[in-house]
Amino acid sequence: MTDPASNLRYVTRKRRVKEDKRFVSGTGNYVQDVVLPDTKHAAVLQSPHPNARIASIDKRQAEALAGVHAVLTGAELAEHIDPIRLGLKRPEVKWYPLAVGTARYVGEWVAVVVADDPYIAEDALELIDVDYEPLEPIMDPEEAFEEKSRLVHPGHGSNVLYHGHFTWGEVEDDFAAADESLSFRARWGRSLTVPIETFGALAAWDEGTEILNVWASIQMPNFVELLASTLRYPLNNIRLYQDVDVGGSYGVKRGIKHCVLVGYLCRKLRVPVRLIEDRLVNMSGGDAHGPDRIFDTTVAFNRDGIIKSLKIRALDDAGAYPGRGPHQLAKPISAIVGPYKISSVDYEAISVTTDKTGQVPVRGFGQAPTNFMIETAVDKVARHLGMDRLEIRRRNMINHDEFPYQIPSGTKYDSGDYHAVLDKVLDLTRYDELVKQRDAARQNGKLAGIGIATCLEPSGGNNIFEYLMEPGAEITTYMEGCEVRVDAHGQVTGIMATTTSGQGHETLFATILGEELEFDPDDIRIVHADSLCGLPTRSPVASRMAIMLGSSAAGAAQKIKDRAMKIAAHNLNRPIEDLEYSEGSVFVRGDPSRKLTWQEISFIAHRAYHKLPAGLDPGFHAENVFQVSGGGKLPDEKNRVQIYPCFSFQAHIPYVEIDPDTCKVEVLDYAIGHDCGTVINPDIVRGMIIGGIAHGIGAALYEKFAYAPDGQFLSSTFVDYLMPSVYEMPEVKDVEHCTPSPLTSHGQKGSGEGGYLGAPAAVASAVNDALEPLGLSIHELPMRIDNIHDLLVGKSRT
Amino acid sequence: MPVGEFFVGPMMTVRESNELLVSVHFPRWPDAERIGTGFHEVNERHGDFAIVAAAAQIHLDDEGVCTRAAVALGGVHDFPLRIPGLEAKLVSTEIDKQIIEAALTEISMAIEPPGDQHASADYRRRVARVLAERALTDAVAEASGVQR
Amino acid sequence: MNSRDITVTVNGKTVAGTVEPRMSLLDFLRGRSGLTGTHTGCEHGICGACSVLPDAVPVRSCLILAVQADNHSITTVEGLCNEDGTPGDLQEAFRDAHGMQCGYCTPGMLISAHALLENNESPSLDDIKEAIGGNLCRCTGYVQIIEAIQLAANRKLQARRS
Repeated sequence: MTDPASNLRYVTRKRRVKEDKRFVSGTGNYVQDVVLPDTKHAAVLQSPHPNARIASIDKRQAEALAGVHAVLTGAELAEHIDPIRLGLKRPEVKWYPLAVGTARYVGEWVAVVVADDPYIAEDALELIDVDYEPLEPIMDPEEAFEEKSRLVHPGHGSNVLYHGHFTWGEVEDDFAAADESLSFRARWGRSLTVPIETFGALAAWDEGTEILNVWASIQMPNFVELLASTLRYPLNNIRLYQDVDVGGSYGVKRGIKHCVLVGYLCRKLRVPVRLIEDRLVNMSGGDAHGPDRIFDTTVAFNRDGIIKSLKIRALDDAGAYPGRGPHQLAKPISAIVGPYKISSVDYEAISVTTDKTGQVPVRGFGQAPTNFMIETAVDKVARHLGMDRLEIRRRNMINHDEFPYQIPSGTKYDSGDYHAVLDKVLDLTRYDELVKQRDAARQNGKLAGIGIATCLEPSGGNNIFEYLMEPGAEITTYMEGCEVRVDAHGQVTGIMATTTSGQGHETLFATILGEELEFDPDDIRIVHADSLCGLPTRSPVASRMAIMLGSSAAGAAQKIKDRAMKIAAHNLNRPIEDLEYSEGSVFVRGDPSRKLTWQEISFIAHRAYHKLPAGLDPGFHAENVFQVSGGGKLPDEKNRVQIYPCFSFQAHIPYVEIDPDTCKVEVLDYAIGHDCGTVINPDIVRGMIIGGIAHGIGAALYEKFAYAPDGQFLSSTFVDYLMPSVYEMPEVKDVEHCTPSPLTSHGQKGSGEGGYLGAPAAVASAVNDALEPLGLSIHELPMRIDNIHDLLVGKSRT
Repeated sequence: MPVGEFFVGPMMTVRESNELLVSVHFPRWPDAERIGTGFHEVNERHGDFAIVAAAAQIHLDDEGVCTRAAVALGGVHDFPLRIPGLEAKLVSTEIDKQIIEAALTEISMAIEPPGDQHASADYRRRVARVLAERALTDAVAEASGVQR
Repeated sequence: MNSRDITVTVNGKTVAGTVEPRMSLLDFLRGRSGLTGTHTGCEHGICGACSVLPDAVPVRSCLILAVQADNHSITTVEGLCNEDGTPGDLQEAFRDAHGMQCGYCTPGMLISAHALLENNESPSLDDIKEAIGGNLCRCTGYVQIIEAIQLAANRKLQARRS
């Protein structure tokens, strides 16, 4: 808890969130709400085959339907655009918005219709005749890794997109010296933080200004660059409107192929074109599935529970078009040992293609599966040694006086007190009584378990893990730009350079400005610049905005104050050192009657040039582009580097019961202790944490994109893809702890991901605790009714 | 038509595309005080279509002998269905735990559960028994006037 | 396609239109009434983002045809605002409790909560869960939404008693 005696006025205080007013009024500005005259509507035809050569497409009947303006195929489109750049340079893995020559997964887009309304567009889809020659698909990632003949992208020569191997510290020595080791497989199922709003894009080409105007439900860095390079446009020919409200993203709203399609079509047809995914298209063909990962891990440990070393092999199924998916193997290197003092790690990371929907970055960018694997390792060692799972964590966790703490892969954790957070949550959940409750439930015939997970949330963002995967990707700039403008009447406006999808950035920005300038944040307006007007940004990924926009805003506010002081000094005829700033007024220390008000300063800045000090330009504004702390360096010769600057920590304690007859798992209670440094807005942070826990419960128990062995996709609707409703969420109790980061403007760290980064591990821990009296365990997510059933009746599941 | 002829497949009925369902008639059994019901289902989430569901309705006469029984299962076949063999083993008995156990054995012959991504055939077969037992136990208790 | 002329009263205002029978009420509201607060989430009746209120019970407008709403009165989230467009009491409670994040499910949540509070002045936690059990949210984990509804209920009760 931030010190109540602190003199912060707005930061840490409970305050209403600015964005909420338009949301409750039904006047949000989502992409589907943006209306341009004469807009036409696009619908996509999807492949029913997991792998098939496209022999021919007969679109004549579709084109002839009244109200249809165009029917476009991949072959036609590919003549006018470049393939969409992947995260890794893989020239023979060609990703186009529409399949070119071969459809590579059930749901891949094969043609697009543009019509007067979505109903006619869908009618026209049924009139397109595609002649497919089905080929044998490759669906299993382990088979795909070895496979020589069934190649998703034959030109690439294999199904292996990436195969890297890193060794940090003295792994072999540590294994040799350790008392024991154990090995296990943990499997993270293919799921996604599916938002309630699907992806949508609207594009309009303005010939008079030669600008492609784009409105989209977007959350991604480099989006405009990717769009420009694919369409072969100069970068400044594209304007992305970033004041579009995004209906949830959690990393996934990337929509490049959607935007390329509407971008191309609107210019060709000379009308605005809109593509709003319907849910079926979204689930199967949006190229937005999450990590699908097999970990084979060996952990070396001593009999006193101290864990010495980890050997990890991670095989991830990136689907047919991997986008930036494979990078989700590398970002977790930032916290590859979790919150523990493990001294060496061997990490082999493999990304393969299969005939499935492509992968997209998901909340945490690979950290949630990795934390799940690490916590599984810790629990397994504890069970093997007969040691309490709390005790083993206490012994292995980094101590509060050891920060900043450098882990073997080179990242320094900035600050933390993991033991204190753990103690707080145990207190909150009345742990001893929870144990009694569990034991009583067991007496009554239930399977009952308490889960424990202590996990890190790397936050702040930088891209240097790209260099680890591909030396030569020398990208070390990871910044956030903002502007602050004070108008002639003294009103303050903050301009941010990117989109928001529910994280309350407008409130965050206004709160920091209000704190620094000593104005009520409710009086500060925040707007989103479009991409032509905005300063450099890396967008709201990597749990970075409190850190980056917050610090950028604080810096900009300081420049505003400096300007105010200079103007005042000149007009009060006193040196700056003699002056004080308070709530916008600047006065002579000891003689407060001699002052300039904020209105007077603003007026001088804008209108009274004769009153400006020499060398000061007119106007009252400041820009600040803030580079992430610790960024800017390349890895050393041992592949060690700082990945992300700040590390938040959460300790999760869920309680579950399992009906041994129906095999249904219920999460009945959930306590979480969280430390994200200084909390800028408590309601926003609490909402993020609980929302993350809900995503985590979904990934742990319900959510899976399922494929039949023949490649058919089984999860295109919400009847089959199950997300937690209010009934699946337990009551969540939370307690806060604060170890400020020394690297940010107010000590804040990220909080947008932590619930999701630890909840799947925690729920898995609870289910395994429930199964422990039977000597059983399960290490594959999701742990659905059927999976528990197979375990309990003694079958093994392949 | 009787409801047993109406359902023909998973989510499929005999209704033609130019037909409209206009009424459903639920006949009530006489002698309401001696009737008990029970319903249990398993779903992954609250409110989902049941993976398996069991419904039971029992009438006991003044001596506690079952005069009529209806037991139906969902999620264990292509459509919901009654289990006549099970019902027959309950009628004319003073239903107790053993009688229910014996009657439940009729289930596995009567059903051909589908297996899909939500649950295997095996699961449905096993849980059908569990839920039928729970539903019957509740129905008998209510019919006997015992507080549940 | 045979079109029909329909008239629907939306938040007290008449909206007339010519529609094909297959047009959903959701598309009619969003496209013809000028009100985009009712949202498209799944178009198969599961997520509840499209919830509107014809009478006391919320319906999923994605599963209702526009022609079925002919000569009916519908309340959408915009209809919960005050005359001057400012948020009403229920909406203010959602702001005070931050019962949302991205706002996309919020209109549906408000409709369900409104229907609950019109019929139940002291809803229990179970009553609240049942009311929003058919509204999916991916951002909040529901806790702050429940708190918002409890806050609104308490305030409404206090106001009625005083």
